[in-house]
Amino acid sequence: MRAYKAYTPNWYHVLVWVLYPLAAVLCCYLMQAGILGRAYTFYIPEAILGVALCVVEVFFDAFSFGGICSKEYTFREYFKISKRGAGLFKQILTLDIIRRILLFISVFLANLAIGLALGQEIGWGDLAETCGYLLWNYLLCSIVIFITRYTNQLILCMCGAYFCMVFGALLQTVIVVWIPVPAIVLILVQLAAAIIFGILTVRAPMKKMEGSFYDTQRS
Amino acid sequence: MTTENVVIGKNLVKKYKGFELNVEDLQIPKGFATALIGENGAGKTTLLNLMSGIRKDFTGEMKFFDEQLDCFDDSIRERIGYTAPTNLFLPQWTIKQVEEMTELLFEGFHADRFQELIKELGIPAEAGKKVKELSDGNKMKLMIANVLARDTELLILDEPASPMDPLMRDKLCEMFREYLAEGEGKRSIFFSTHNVADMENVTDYVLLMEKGKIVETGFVEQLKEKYILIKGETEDYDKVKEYIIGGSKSKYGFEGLCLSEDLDKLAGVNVAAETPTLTQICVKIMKEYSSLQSKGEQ
Repeated sequence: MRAYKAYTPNWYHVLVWVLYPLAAVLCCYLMQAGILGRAYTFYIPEAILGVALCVVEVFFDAFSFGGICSKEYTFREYFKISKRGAGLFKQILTLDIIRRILLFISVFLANLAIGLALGQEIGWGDLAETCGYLLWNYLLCSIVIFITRYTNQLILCMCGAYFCMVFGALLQTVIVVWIPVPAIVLILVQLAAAIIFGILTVRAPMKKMEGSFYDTQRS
Repeated sequence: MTTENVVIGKNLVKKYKGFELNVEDLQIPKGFATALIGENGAGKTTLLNLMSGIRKDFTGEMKFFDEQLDCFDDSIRERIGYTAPTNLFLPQWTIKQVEEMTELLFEGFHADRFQELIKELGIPAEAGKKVKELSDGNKMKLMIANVLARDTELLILDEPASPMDPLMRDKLCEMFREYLAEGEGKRSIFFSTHNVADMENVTDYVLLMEKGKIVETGFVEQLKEKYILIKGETEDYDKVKEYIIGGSKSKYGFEGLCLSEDLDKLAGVNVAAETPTLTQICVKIMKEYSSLQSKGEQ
């Protein structure tokens, strides 16, 4: 925790741990209460916000970890010269993933609570469908972050996020309409993929750090 | 003179595409400031990277601290302070974050000492100041403050003087002297530099490197005894050129180094001999090995 706190600035902590989740929850309320557009049922804000959260997440990631998997990323050397460096670097990356998971889950739960408080009827089917949205968006977010960490160009990261979300939405439509897979299977597949990409977003920078000890090109 | 060594390397070979570092015998004396001098691309940074632990793929043997610890032993990292030629810290980090991160990365880091050094070095450190907002010189000062605030026994500094103004270079030399004096013979500094003249007053020992190899080593005073600077008329150049190292001639005369032991062989030729400065020794030797040719040379 201390390493993550030291690695990222204080304003960033306030933004990503407090303001950003609060803003997401507020949007859920405004959408469900009909203040922002017509009164949406519980799963619509979840779907819309899922996409928005992904784009914002990629933006934040580009700020903190932009280019972390690229060859040109030289700032890992400060971690390389310390015996504790690799361990701390891994902790920082892991905590960032935990934060992202907590964000997606807390927004989902807050959205659900708002729906119930506003008197919406939410059945198990709605919950399962919304869980699917949540997982799908989280999975896409992990994939985009995994890819965009290979560049430190913010504009490329944002374009990557945009195209991945569009492609993800199309792919989801194709799966739902043309591939008759039971919802539970789809959820399990998405969960497995989300876990794999979660692990990869930590392992890839660690592998890069390890590999940089053995670079064959002169720096 | 018998001295203990803080680092000993044998047959160090590191190959890159189009370049090979090949150091047969590396000895860095303990308790002194050793300068690593060489032209661009000579392999100075490669050697420092191997020593600092940034690169691990090399063959050969390197031992630290009285030959007790291998270079792959992680415990030596606590005892070594390293600064890179470019910024080591994330650009968006504030100076406070640099302090907090260093505290986590290294056991023997003293935050209060770090703050004192920041003031002493005149680094603009108002609250929230980011690393990217500092000039290159101030970034280097920040790295130096960072290593000096740690309990180390060896500093490995890659061109610490390059981005600094002459006044700051003088201050840097003073801080190096203080660091060595406080260590009472147990602390050593190994730094690369192109600013030989500015760093001469802190340099005790020299390693001259060319094309991946160490071509000359020695204490400054020994080198000044070993070589002599000679100057003469252009028409005499051909008579002496076999004894000259890194010679240069123009229509006004010639100048070059020669071994002091060869001075007798120049008897009968009208040359003026004088003790060379460290810069002159380094430049002439580098010239001898360099692929660069100056205008008047054949």
